[in-house]
Amino acid sequence: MSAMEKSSWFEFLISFAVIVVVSCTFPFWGDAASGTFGFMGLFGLIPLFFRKRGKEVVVDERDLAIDRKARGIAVSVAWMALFMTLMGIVLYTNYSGGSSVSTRVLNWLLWIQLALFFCLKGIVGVVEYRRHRLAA
Amino acid sequence: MSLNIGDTALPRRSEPSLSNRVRDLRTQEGLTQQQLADMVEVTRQTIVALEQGAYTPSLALALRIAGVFKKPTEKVFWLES
Repeated sequence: MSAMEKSSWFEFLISFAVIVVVSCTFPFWGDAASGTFGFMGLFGLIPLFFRKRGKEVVVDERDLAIDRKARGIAVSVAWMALFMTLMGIVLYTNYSGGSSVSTRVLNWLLWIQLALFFCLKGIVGVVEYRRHRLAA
Repeated sequence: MSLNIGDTALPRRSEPSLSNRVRDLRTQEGLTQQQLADMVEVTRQTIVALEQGAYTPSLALALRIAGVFKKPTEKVFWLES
């Protein structure tokens, strides 16, 4: 498994676990469940996957191409999900007679979008590597 | 054609499929996949994917590989008709 593939798996597993834990704990902890998003700080360990080992090539053009594709898809989907959700919230607030959207909701949306981005980036990377492996 | 936003290119039309003789030439030269990968500065997995047609190399990589075998690039890689 290449360094970039390990990084993709790491991103997917951590962000998916965070989303699952937040979903499970929110009914009990409420807003305090957002502290779980702090586990995404583990992404700071990702550079460890890319440390040089002698003359071995760690990242090559295929890895960069897969990473670029994964990042593009993740940015597009996460951005559209955030935008559509914000639109829905504004429409709901307007038609239900409300005058403002709570910053609490915006805080949650930003964290969820970040987790969604890394989850999508990871899963697209994993699927691309698997697709290359199966085609080979 | 691709549209660049910052350093992130939006997905473009998939690369054309290239056929190649890399595996044949490599075995003729007595090279392992790892040795060839080291010579052209890629990972062994990329050589595996390339030999099986799962990955289309960049022009620079194709030229480097052809240079290893001392053959013209079009004798090593060609477009599927």
